[in-house]
Amino acid sequence: MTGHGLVAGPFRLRWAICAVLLIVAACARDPVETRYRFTAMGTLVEVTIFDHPPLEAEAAARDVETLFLDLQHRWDPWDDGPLGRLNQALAAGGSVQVDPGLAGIIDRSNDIARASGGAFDPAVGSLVKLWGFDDAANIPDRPPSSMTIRTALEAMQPLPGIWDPSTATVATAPGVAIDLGGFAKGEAVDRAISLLQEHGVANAIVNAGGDLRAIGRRGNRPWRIGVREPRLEGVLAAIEVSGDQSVFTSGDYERFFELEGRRYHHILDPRTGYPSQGLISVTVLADNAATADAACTALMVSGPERWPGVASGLGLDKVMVVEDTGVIQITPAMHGKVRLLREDRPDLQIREIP
Amino acid sequence: MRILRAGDVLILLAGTALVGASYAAFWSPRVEGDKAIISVGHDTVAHASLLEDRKIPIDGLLGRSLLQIEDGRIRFTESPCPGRYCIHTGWISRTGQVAACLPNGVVVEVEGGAREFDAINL
Repeated sequence: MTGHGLVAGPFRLRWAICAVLLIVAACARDPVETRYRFTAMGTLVEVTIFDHPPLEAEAAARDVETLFLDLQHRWDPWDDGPLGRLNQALAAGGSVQVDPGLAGIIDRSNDIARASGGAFDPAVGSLVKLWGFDDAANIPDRPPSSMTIRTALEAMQPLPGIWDPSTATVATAPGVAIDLGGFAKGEAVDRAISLLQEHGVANAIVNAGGDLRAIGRRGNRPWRIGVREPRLEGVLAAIEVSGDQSVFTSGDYERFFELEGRRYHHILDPRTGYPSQGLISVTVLADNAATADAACTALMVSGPERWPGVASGLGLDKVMVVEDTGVIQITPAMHGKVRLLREDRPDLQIREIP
Repeated sequence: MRILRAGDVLILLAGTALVGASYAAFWSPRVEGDKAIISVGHDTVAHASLLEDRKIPIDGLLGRSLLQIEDGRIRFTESPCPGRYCIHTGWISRTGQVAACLPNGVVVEVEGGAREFDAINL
């Protein structure tokens, strides 16, 4: 053999080397993926970690489980944790000073409540309990009477009206209970991602019941996220995310009951006291999970006409909503990120964020 | 001397096509799974083929859930949970899809095909 290696070598040797390279290329598999699943906050949480030593990845995921269970206790509105005690104190009358750990999340949820113009309001706890949507294990079978809903609404006060961030105090509001349900899961996902990053994890998804934040990539490709069809079986759309993005979807199919042909779902309009109407699904792509979580609730409540204005207030530009008529409305920025998978051409409207 | 001759180019092209074809044949998207992994809590309690229609009782934390396999799909048909969200979930068949009865601690995941999505927004 001369010094020209593969080029000048015998024909058979060239074939042999090619064959080996092809076999290696064809058989090459991805680096290891670790999946860890647990139940917390009334939902199934899955941590997916890619290209990280498996034992370290599992240890990090177990820490995420511990974090979720701790936050579940702290933020349960009706248990004996800090938020439960706050609600008990509110019900007993008088203003309540909130401990610093809880004040942070109340303050952030208050900012979002203000930015959403009241479409998202954590002070909706008494209403949620009245409807029976406070218990993750149970589903009600009929709505409360209109009179009890009216009474609950009259006693309610929006969180921005009773929360003083300078003193971390909730003003006297005996009819109010704070429920972080539309925000807590997102905040927990954000904290879980920070925890994974402290463990040195660079590529991961924390998926809490389908709502997720993804960091990094899955090897040489982005993470692939499916968005479920709100009415049909299967997947409505595919979204590819990489870097650091949150994808949250809320809909009227998650927790609901039907009575006399009408569907009653768990996303309540704080202004009417009844489940929101007009939209059956909202998908939001945002930088952080807490904002995405609260935004889904706020946009569902805002309805098919008003949601772009509320999205603008929340600083969002990537939103897709499905109306109860089946029409899909989508922002230009989201349109560039989403691949719709319906076989029949969907009725699509591009909506600009003002 | 030329680095590559026409024959070498042909070999490389044929090789590339072969890699593509083998990749498509072996690794690519058959998104329908062919088995279900059933767990209670952190313990896997059953591996079930989706190729054989049948009903599978699973004892969970509250009582017995009943799973049905039919036409390559699986679903909850009975469960002792009050909310019945597991039954609302309906059929699942794509690799990576999950149906769960959280109060009863029973989780079903489809496996065996190509995973189309890393996660599904529910």
